Amino acid sequence: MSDTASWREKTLDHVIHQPILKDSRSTAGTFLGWPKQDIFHDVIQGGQANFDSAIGKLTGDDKALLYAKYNQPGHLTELDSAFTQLLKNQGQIIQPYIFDIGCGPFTAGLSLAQTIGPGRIIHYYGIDLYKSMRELAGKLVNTAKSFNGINNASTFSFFESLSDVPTPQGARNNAKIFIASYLLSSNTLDVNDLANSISNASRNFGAGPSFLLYTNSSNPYAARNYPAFKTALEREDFECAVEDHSCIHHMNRERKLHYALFYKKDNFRV
Amino acid sequence: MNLPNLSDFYPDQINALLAPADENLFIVGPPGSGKTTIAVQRAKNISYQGKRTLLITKNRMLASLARKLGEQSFEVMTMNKFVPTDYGIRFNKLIPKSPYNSYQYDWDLITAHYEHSPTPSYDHIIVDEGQNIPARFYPWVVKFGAHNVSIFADENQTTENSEHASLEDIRSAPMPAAKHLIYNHRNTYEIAQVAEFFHRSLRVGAGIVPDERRGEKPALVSFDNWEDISKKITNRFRNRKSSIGIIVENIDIAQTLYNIITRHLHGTTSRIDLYTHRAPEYSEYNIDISQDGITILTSKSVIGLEFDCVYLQDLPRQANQLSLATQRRMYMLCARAKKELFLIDGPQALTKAQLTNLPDENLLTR
Repeated sequence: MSDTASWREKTLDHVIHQPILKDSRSTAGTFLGWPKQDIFHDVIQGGQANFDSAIGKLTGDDKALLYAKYNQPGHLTELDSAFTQLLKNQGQIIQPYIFDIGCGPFTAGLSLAQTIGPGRIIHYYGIDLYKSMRELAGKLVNTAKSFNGINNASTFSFFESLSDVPTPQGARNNAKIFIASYLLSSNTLDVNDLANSISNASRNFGAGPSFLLYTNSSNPYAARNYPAFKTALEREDFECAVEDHSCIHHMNRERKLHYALFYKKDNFRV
Repeated sequence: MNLPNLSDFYPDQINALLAPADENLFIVGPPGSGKTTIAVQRAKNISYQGKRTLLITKNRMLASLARKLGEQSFEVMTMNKFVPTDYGIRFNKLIPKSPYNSYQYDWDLITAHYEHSPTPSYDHIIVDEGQNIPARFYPWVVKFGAHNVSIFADENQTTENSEHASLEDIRSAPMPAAKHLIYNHRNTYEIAQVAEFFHRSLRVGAGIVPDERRGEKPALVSFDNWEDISKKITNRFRNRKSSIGIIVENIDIAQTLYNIITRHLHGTTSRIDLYTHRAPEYSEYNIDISQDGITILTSKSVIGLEFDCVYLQDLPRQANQLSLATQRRMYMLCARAKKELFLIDGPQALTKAQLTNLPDENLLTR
C-alpha cells in the first residue's frame, strides 16, 4: 500500500486482502485453499450462499471474507457513483439515518463514508441476515475509524432484521436513507414484508423525508422481484422518482445495472 | 446513473419568513430552532409595511430581549400585560378574573364583552413561545386581538395545562396547519446530544445541528457547598469571558449564589445579574443576558433564553424513572447552552439511583 492510499483502500487491505493472502491455506492458485476461478460459483454462489454455514474447510467467516474480495469492489464502484449524485453537496441532508438492508461487508457504509468525507456525521444501521457479514462489517467500521475515514460522532450498529433496530425516544427530523443494493436477487425475500418493515422504520424514525436507493444487476432473473417490490413500496406511500438501466465501468468491463430512487415526503404537520 | 440530489426534495424553510403580512402563520419548532429570531424578523417586516404590530411573549426577559432585537420598530408586551391593557382601554374597567382562581382570566366573560366591541386594535400580533400561554387566549386573540396572528410554539413542556396550550389548542383557535422548523441553530452537537437524551416529544422533532458545530462534551461537576461552585464559576469567567447562565431550582438558592458571586467578583466591572420569575417588574430592562457576565436564574424564568455557557443546578431528584414532564423540562433547560454545558451536582449529592437518570459517559463527562 502506498502512503497516499485512501483510508478505504487501507481498510480493505487490512481487513480483507491481507488476511486472505496471509492465510496459511492460500496458495498461488487458491484463496483460503479454494481454487480462485471456482469461488464465485461454489463458495459465494453468486452472492446467494448461506454465509453462516461452512462449505468444505471454509467457515462462514471465510465465505464472508471471500464475498468481500469478489463481489464488493463492483458494488462499491456503483454505489460511489450513486452517492456522489445523491449527496454531492451537503445541502440539507444533515445527519441522516442510513438503513443499509442486506449490508454485507459494510459495502454501502464504505461508499457513503468515502463520498461524504470524514467531516460529516451519519447514523448507520447495517442489516444482514448473516452473523459472519455483520461481524466483518463491524471490523471494517473499526478499521475505517482507525484510519480516520469516519467522523467520531457517527454511529454504526448492526442487526439481523430491520425490525430489531431500536426506535429513538422522541420525534426526529432527520432524513432517512434506505439502501437495497443487490438485495432483491435473494430467493428467500418476501417483498411485502420488506416494504412493510421499511415503512415501519420510516415512521419510527420521525417525520423527516425517506429515500430508498435500489440497485441490482440488470439481468432479468436478478430483477424478477423488483415489480412486486415497487408496488409494495408505492402502497406504503413511497413514490418512484427515478428508475433506469445504466452501465458502470468497472475493472475494464461494463457492468449493466438496474437502479431506482424512491421518495416518501416529510410529515412535518400539526 | 442519473440521480437527483436529495436536498432538492427538502421542505423550504424560508417560506416561514416570506409568508405575507396579511396571512396567519403557525410555526412549530424545538428549542434553538430560531423561533424568536424569526418572530422578531417577521414583526419587523410587518411593521415596516406600516402595520401596527405587537409581539407577545409569556416571559418578561424574553419580551425585553425581543424589544432590543426589534429596535423599537414594533411593540412588545407579555400576555399578562397586553390582555388587561387592551381590555381596560376598551371597557374602562378591570379585567374579569376567574371566580375559581384569581391568577386566571375569566375568558368566557371577556369574550362575551368583546362581542360588543369586536374590532381588533392591531393589524398583526405575533406570539412567541406560544405553548406557555393559556389555551383560552388563542380563540380570543385570533378573533379580537388583531386582523392577523402569527404564532411560534414548541410542544408544551409542562403538565400544568391550565396556563399552557397544546399545539392542537393553538391549531383550533383556528390557525392554519403548522410549518415545522427542523434545524438547531443554537447548541453544539455535544450539547444537543445531552438535551436529546431527555427529548420525549412525539410531535416536534429534536432540531438537527450542523455537523461542523462541535464543542466539548458536557460535564457533570460535583460540589459540596455554594462557596466552592461559585469559585469555580467565577474562575472560569475570569479566564474566559462569556455570557454565563446559572440555572437553579429556587429563588433562595439564586439569591445565595448571587451574594457569593458578587463578593467573589467585587471590585471588577463584571456584570452579575439575578433574575427570577418573582423579579420586580421592569428589572429585566436593565439586564442584557447576551453580554459577557453572569446571570443567575430560576428554571421558571429561563424559557426562551440562551447563554454561551450554562451551569444547571436544577437536576431531577427522582430516584425512579423520570416523569415525562421532568424529561421535557430537562430537555428545555439543557438546550439553553450554546457552547458549554455543566450539570452541577450539589450541595446535596445525587444518589446512585438519581444519577442513572442522567446521560452516561458517552454523552456526559462524569
